[in-house]
Amino acid sequence: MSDRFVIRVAAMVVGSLLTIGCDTNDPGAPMTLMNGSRAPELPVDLEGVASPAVSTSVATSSIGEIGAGSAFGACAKRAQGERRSVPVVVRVGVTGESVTFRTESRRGLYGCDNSQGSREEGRRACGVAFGQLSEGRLEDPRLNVGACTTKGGEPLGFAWVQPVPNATFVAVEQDGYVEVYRTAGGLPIRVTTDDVEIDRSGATFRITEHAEDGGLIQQYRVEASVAG
Amino acid sequence: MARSHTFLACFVTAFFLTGAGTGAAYHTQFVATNCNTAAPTPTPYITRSGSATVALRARYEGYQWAGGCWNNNDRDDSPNDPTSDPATGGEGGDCSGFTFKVWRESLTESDASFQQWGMLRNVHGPYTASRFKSGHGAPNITASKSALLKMDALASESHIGMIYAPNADGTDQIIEAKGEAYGTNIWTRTYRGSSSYGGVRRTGWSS
Repeated sequence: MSDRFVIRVAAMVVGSLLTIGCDTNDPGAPMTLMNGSRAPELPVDLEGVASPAVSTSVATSSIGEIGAGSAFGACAKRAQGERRSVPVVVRVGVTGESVTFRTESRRGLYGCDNSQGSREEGRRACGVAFGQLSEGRLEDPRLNVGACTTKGGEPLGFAWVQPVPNATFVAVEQDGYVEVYRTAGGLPIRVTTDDVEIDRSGATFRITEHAEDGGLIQQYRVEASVAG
Repeated sequence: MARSHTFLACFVTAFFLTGAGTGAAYHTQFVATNCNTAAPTPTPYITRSGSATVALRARYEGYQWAGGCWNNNDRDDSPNDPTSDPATGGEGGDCSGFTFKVWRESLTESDASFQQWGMLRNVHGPYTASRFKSGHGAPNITASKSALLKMDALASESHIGMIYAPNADGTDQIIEAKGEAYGTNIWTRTYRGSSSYGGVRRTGWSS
């Protein structure tokens, strides 16, 4: 056995180990959500979703259950003059969280967004949104960009998605993974993207909608702009 | 004779149908043809009356959802765009885009400096009426409605207009980008008396 052969074999072994190491270090989908909780397990595989997927958490509650001192407490106050409908949908994702609720008249949809980045002094949520509903639907996704950022300062965009009635999951492409939202309360879903263009006050959302068994229903892209 | 009448009827019908089709073709390409993406010019100061002058240049111009580009020819160059469609590329700002530009704000929300945007610079800015109402952005604060001054604003969750002049009866002359059917103009409004509206102020005026 020559020294050259031994060196070659050793190099292959080291190379293989490095390759395995690289695979092991593949970050895949984040395991934790913005609030530090473990991401819920996704119950099904989503057809057509190739990237690692992480499930966001969703909870429905009433306005009274949202603490006045919480990030969303002030948000709920915005609709004080109107009768608010239940449920209030609170979502926690990897880099952003949101609350969504509708007025009892079903003509208005309120939302607040929150992220991990720095914010104006004394402000708990980094963004607010309001959409006018026409026959239960929004005419505009009500994009919020500008003040919500990741911990590292990268801009985030939030917008409402209105999935088809038979959709159970909405998946939104992020940088290196897919964030999955479960429908709740019959309300539009406030989703997050890191694909933001501050110069045009816009953001892009790459979305797939899936049935309860994970089957792909539709795939589309939303080019949203701040408006109104 | 009957055949010529038939031909005439068909011709007239076709003519009007063609005309209707043209009328519905809202894509004026105003933004694509006229607007730019030039960087703003920082300005050391701005007065409230100077800001009113900036706003008046948009008077009688159009309205564009998510828009922010207009000329100064006193007409809407892209009338009757479909509402709530940012892709129509028409002339004008929407209510919040108009306010952003008139208040000479920055795309960076933490930056309270004054930035002069050209009329033909197509920019909307990061604020919606709802966010203005909540006082989002370093330059913006909420203010008591009774204390509002010229070029302060009144904002609801879905609309914002600036006070061009208060009226003696408690109403205000509001300069605003109102909607596709109305364009940008000055109207007498009762926003100050409406519980839906709150006061908003751009800070840092030199006078």
